[in-house]
Formats: sequence, structure tokens, C-alpha cells
Amino acid sequence: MKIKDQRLFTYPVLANGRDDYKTCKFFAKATPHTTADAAGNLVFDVDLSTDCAEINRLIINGDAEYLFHVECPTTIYRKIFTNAVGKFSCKIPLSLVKDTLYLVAFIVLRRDVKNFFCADWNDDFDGLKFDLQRGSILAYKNFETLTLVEDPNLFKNVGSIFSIYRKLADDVPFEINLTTQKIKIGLNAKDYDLYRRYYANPTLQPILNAMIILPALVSIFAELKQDAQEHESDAWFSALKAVYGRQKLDFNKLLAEEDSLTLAQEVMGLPITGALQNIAQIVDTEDS
Amino acid sequence: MELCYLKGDALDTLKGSLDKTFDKYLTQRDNSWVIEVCGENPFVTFRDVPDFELAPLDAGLDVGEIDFRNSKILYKHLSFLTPRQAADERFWAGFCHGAFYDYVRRRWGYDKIDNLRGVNKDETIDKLRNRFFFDGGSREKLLTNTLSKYWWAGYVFSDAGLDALGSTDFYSKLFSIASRSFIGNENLRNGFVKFLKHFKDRGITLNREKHIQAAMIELNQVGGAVILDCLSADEVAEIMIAYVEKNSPPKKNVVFDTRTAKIK
Repeated sequence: MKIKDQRLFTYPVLANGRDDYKTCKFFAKATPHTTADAAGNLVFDVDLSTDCAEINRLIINGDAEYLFHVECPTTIYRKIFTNAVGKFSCKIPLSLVKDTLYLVAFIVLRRDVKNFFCADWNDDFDGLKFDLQRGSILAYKNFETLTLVEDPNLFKNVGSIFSIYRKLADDVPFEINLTTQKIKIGLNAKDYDLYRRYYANPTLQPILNAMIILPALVSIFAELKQDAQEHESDAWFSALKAVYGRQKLDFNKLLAEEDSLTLAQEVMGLPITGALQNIAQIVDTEDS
Repeated sequence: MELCYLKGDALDTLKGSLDKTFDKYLTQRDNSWVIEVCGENPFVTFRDVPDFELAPLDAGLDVGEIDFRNSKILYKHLSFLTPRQAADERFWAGFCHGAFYDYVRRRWGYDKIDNLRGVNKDETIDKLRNRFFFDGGSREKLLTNTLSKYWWAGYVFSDAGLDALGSTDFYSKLFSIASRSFIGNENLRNGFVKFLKHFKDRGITLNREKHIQAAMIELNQVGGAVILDCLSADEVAEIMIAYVEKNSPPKKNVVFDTRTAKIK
């Protein structure tokens, strides 16, 4: 669920993208814990508040409450968490969700309310009062869609955001497919069979990564430099962004400023160096 | 029975090579070609479960009855799957290409294809993508794969809900209901089942478009004004029942009792 700012309400609603209220604000934060709890739950610390005296009065009287709405379309999961106090925690079992979570915070009515009025309303509502029914939205905030990444150790295990598959043809170039979860690389049948024979060998892995993953990433970064928005909700994009985030670097800024070859080498931790070192190790071992 | 899922790269290989392998699904009675195409054994054993059989395809059952029975059978035997696992394409593509390969082929009548003349390649590939793999939007793909739709029908509606839904026009009803976002909320889902049961208990069969769809549209309109999730199951049922009874009251099924020669 997402509430569109263009959505028409028959009464004033407090939200960032709307001007129904002149000065009042709805403050909303939802911070996920970086690791699941011992029971395998994804935990959110939710912190909601408003400086609107009339809405606060409704909350104190028990006529309104805070509500955190969580939806995962991939697993047909949808749940609300409600509270009379704005600070609370929500636990979502990871076994029930996958890929993406839509998160929205609300203040909603718990009971029907008559003659609802606020002095801070836009002049268009001058002199109006509203009778509202239970469940009516008084305030809302859409959060950025949360992408659930399967494996946090992305580049330690290349398989996590990349998937290499076998094409049926021989002697054709490798191809890249960008899906919502993974970057998929198709190798021709001969290449794939050789790749499968050697990919598990830890000495050969950096060499294979430099041969296959590096050019794929260069191509992907070139595409992202043209239009990153199209892929922003993809799991692999979030994963790439997180790699930079862990180094306190702004991914979008770097994308605009650096060339794709540099970006690809940086995100992989200078793969050519690692590959050449391992080639040297293999050859020197054979020579001795 | 050994349940196997497909390795991720094997899944990509099979899905990415449908333009070259589509004919195998139509002509090959066993799945040995799958290993050949993947260049290795693509299956990973997930779990052993007691043997079970899906609804017979050659016993004169109509498609709705087959789907209805299979939803009960499959969910009963695989209820240990978590929704996260059941939303994973590798599992269902693995079952469709592994233990249930022959069943899925026969379910779609591929065993009756004598030759490939007259087979539309693009159309067949589109269908294979839906039937043996996942294709489409987040919820839709769960409901189009031949086997995963049975599990999700069992998960969403439970046994009592499936009975209320009934086997008539089963898949159309399932798809139009389960592809709606509100069905994810347990209260709303239970309210919907109560609505179905209300009429079922009175011997009334609801029409998909005229009653079920229309009542869902009404509920959606209520959702334009309030957060639907705040409603209880009873309130959801009341809204839908009231709408149907007011706008297009369904008629009770007429049953002719051959023993008494009277209409019940």
C-alpha cells in the first residue's frame, strides 16, 4: 500500500506532499534493525508524532491512534501495528516476507468523530467541520520501499547478487539480464561448463570474477549512469548502494561523478590486482 | 517422495532457453532432457515427504474440481513450507520439472499432442513461462504457476474457505480474489470467507462477476475513505453481504429431489 499525494480526501489530511494544513507536520521514522532477532524477526523501531494540537488531543482521548502498515506483495502479507503512543517496535517474521516491503505510517481514528476541526487548516476549509468514521486517515507518511537482500555478504560470495546460467548455444558472446533480484549472466554452453568446473576453486575465483563479473559491472554502471531510477527498487541495486553506504559514500553522487570502469573496480575491491596475484601464485607453484 | 528445487543457475538456463526447448515440454514424456540442457543435475533435494497423489486427470473431473481438490491436497502435504519458501520460483519450477513433471504436462494436455504442426511457438513459450515457472507481477506469478497456485489457494483460504469458495469456476474466482492486495490481511481475508460462507450456508451460489467482484469493488470503495485493515472480519463480511443483498440478491439454488419428486 502507498498513499498517493494526488489522492482526493473529502477532508484535510496531514502529510508532507499536501497543503491541507498550513504549518503542522507529521513526523515519522521507521528504522529497521540491521540483523534479525533471535526468533528470526525483522524488527522496526517506529517513532511517530505530530505537532498538531487537535490531532494530539484525539490521540490522548483515545479517539485516534498511530498505525504502522506493512505489506509484502511477494508473499501476500499485509499487517497493521497500532499503538496509542508514537514510539513502538514491530516484529515481522522473516519467514513471512520476501523481496520487498511497503511501509506506511498513519494516524487514524479509532472511533467515529463528529465536528472535527483544526485552526491550522488551509483557508479552503475555512468554517468547515467534518464528521469522520472509524478508520479515517488523519495523517500519513509513505516510507521508501524496503528491499530485503538475501545475503548480506555480497561480494564475498559472488553468487549472491549475480547468477551465472548456461545458454544453449556454443560460440556466442556472454549476455547480461537485469532482473528485480539478481544480475544474471548467461555464458555459452562451452564456457559455462568450464566455468562450473573451476568456479568453486578459491584460487581461481578472483580470476573468474575479473573475467566475467568486472566487464558485466562496467556495462551495468554505464547503464545506471544513464538512468538509475528504473532500477532503484531492484535488490541488486540496493546491494550495490549498501556496499558504498558501508564506506559512508553516496552511491548516487559517485554514479554521477565517476566513470563506470572506475566504479566497477572500486566496488569489487580492485579485482585485477587480486586476479594477477593469483595467476602469479598458480604459475610460480607450477614452476617450482 | 523426494521434493527437489532447481539450482538458481539451472532455473535461469531453463527459463532462458525456452525458444530452443519448448518442444521438449510438448513431446518428452520424462524429464531426462532437463539434465541434458543444464549440463548437470539441476535438482537439489529439499525434503522427503510421504508419497501423495494429486487429483486424477482422467477420471472425468472438470477443471474446477481438479483445481479445487489439488488445492486441498497440495497444501495439506506441503503446509510446512513458509510463505517465503513458497514464494521462491526455484521450488515450484523444481517440482514442475521434477516430481510432478508428468502431471503438469498432462494437466495441460501436452501428452495428447501428436505433432508440432499447428503449435504456435510464441504462445506456447508464454504459457510454459506461466505454467512451469513464475511470470508476471508479485502476486499474479504465485497464482499462475500450475502447482504454486494450489499451495497459495490453500494458504490464503484454508480448508473452510476453500469449501466456501466451491469448485465452480474455481480458478477465475481464486485469481480475482487472491490477486487483490487486501487479501493479505488476515482480518480482511476472514471477513471475505465469512461473506462467501454466509451465502453457501443458505444454499446460494454466487456469481463471480455479479456478486463476488461487485462486492470486492464495494469494499475497495469503502477503502477509499478508511483504512480497511482497521475493520474486523465481521464488519468486512457485513459490508459485502449487505451490498450483494441490496444490489443483486442471488437466488437460492433449486434442487429437484428425485426420491420425493419435489423441489427442495
